[in-house]
Amino acid sequence: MSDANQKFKAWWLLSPTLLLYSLTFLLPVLLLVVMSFAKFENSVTEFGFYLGNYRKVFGDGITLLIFWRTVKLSVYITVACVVLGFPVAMVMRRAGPRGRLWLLFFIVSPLLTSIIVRNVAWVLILGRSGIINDTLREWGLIASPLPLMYNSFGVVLAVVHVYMSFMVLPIYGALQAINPSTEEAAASLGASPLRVFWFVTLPQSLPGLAAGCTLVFILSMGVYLTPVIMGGNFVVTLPMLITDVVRNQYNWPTASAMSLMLLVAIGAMVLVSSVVQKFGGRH
Amino acid sequence: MENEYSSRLGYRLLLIFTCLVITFLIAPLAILVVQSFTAESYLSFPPPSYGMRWYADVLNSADWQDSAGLSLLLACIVTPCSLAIGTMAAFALNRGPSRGRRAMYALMISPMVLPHIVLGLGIFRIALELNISDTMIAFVPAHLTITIPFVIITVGASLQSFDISMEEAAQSLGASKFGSVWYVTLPIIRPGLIAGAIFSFIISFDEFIITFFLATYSRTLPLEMFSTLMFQVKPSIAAVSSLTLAVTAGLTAILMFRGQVAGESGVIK
Amino acid sequence: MSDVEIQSAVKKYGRFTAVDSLDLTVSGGEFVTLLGPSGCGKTTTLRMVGGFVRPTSGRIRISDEDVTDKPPQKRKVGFVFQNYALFPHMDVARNVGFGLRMANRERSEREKRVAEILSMVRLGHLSDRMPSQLSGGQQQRVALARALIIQPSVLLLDEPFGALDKQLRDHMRVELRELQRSLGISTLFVTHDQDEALSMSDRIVVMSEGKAAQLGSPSEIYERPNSKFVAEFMGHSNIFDCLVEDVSKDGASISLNGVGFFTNSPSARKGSRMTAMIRPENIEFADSGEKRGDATVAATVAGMEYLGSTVQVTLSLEAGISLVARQTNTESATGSKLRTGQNVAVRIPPEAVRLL
Repeated sequence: MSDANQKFKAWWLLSPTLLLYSLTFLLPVLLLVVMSFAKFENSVTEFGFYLGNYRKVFGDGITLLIFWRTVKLSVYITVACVVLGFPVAMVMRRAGPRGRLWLLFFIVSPLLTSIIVRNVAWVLILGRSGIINDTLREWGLIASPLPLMYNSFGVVLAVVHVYMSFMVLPIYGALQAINPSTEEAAASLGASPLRVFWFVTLPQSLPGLAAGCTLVFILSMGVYLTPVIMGGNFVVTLPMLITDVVRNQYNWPTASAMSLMLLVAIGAMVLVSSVVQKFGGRH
Repeated sequence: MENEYSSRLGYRLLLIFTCLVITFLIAPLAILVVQSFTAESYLSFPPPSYGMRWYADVLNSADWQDSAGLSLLLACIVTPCSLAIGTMAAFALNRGPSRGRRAMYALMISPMVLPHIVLGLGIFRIALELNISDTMIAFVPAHLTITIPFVIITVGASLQSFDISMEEAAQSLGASKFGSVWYVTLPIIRPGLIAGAIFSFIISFDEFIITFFLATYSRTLPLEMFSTLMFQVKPSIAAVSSLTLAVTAGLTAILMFRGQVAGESGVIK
Repeated sequence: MSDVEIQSAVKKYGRFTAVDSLDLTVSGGEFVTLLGPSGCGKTTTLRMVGGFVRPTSGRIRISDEDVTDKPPQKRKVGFVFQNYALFPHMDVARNVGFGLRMANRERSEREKRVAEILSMVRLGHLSDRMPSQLSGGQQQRVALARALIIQPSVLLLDEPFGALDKQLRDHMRVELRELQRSLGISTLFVTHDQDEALSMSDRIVVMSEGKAAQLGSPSEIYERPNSKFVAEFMGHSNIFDCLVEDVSKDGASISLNGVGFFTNSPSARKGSRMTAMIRPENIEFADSGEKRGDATVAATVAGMEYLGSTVQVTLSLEAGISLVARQTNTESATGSKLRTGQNVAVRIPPEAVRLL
């Protein structure tokens, strides 16, 4: 059972997954890497080692602009998720078992409901003739509809709605793991509740916070549907640009280079987060 | 923090804030459902009059029927495959040698952190080369790639808390290796299996971007909703959304409450 | 005919040797205990017999059949796990009947035998309870019943009392021992608790670093430990290095840092350095008036520890020797009336001193 040679035998169980991944995950990503160095001219892709795609991506001004906008939006989304999510995680920790289950249900249920359904809901609320604008107009408070969507605000709001649970759950997990005696000890040593939170609770919850931020940031960088629906053509993000380049221009090499740009940004975030979590764990 | 002298005011503020956040999460969906019952030909809140008109409209529409049928078929194929393959992988990661386990685990769940847009792009390209892009042969493996990590995580978590001596006990009582897994391990980790299956179903049922790349003529429910939404916002979209919501929320409720109950009776105090 | 035979079993994990050439035979319904500190290889040994660990070398025989290469399900051993490993999704009856179900026995036979064995462990009324609804002692009886129902040739117990509180533990060990004796089943028991080992065993194997440090009856192990390790592990406190000064036919005189003692321990060799052990309960306090010759030593009371039925006195002798004496806590006993700092004379009879 617990012998080493028997343990290696257990790994054959991985083979279906590995086979699948190699066709649907590893090979595709490899292909994108190869294609990002291919030459695209007159709708013909020519494989080779050609840096023109990257030169274009970094040099045309627009791609880089869109990239930074995507990063900026992801940062807004992440910060908003922390601000909204941390208190919820704290309440979840202190709630009784029943209350905790209900909170968990409320937190997780949006996660498990279709993104598109949630976006439809936001369109009905924030749209030009959505609930908010209709109501305000009826009350005579505004003459023309407020611009609540087709801008960054609408995108951030809707994405926060979708990804909040990815922030709350890791923070809750980290808070759960804290030994309450450490907080009681701090209190008995004269720390006020706020200082207990600042010096004892928060530092111990950093691994969860880091995990949540990483997850939300990564997911936000790659989100396509919500910016399309909530931002329209007014908030173009990198995933939207990539989709456009492939679906309308058939320019695979440029789209591949952009995809790698996205992947590298995400990889950098994962790296930073793992360093932060390592240091967080040391304290 | 949790002693009886802790600041009531602070906790109350936190509680109020939490209620607001929960409202933010739930209200849009509630409003959507209410609006779907409008009897008018336009959306407004609250609707001037209520009726099932748009549900009848949706349920009688061939387009919606076809796309819902395709999505259900896809999810029903993906879920058992995902559960079987993912559970095998979770066992391997749990029982395999400890050296290399972390790296292997990271590889196994990495499709989760890869943006689906990139994954979709890559799979689309491979499917194009193989000339299978608009078929189930492409849809099923593509969906499996994003559902399997969830099975690995949920089943893996159950296996982690599973006490291996249960299996040893079964074997010392005469069960074969497979028998001990079948009669003892699988029933005990059932909450994890149910969770993995429900995650797989919902994720496949809701998957948009990868199918969006692959499909040319096929329409899954999310694709149909998207193109309708881009065309115009009609009450029918609210009705479809509410129906989808009912399916996923129902499954979520099972996941939360069944999983919890099974989890509780499944653990010796 | 032996029920279990371990023949020079070795288990290595990489460079670490968990079990180092161990030999042991258990037969005829005897109760043998593997005793030792954690990491001494006792559980690994038990798991080798159970079939969960494959020996690196050596053989395991059960009922005179070589089972070294056989998996657990082909060994017919009754294994009771430390945490009982009851199946949480099955009620008591199904837990107990599991072994018969695996042997494809008829349902009616299964039900009959489950009822029999449950009444034997006095749990007949709880057969449809789930394990989580049982107390610790009841869970343990279920685990025992489940192991016994397959009529194993040997019962293997891995620290089965660890999860119980002290009172229940004392009760369960009497109950287990009675059951084991009435069934006449050979038993191999693993524990790190000396009291448990001493009270239950026919024979004890004290293990240290994968080897058997000493094998013998409880009284042999406790009264005549063969090494410093065994003496210390069995809870003896007065252990000293000494020099054997003279040997006569009655015994030997030894010196601890210049303080002389007399012993009747047989193993003494003149001029050799040995380890001496003085049993705390044999140290006597001489009345202050009485001063009788060679066996009396002057000491100061350095500390008193009240233990309920006994009193433990730490004595400080000349030459920096610290000695622990234990006295029964009765009205008449001298030891219980001592004060810290008081000067006393103690008598150490020759039979109290053992050379290892």
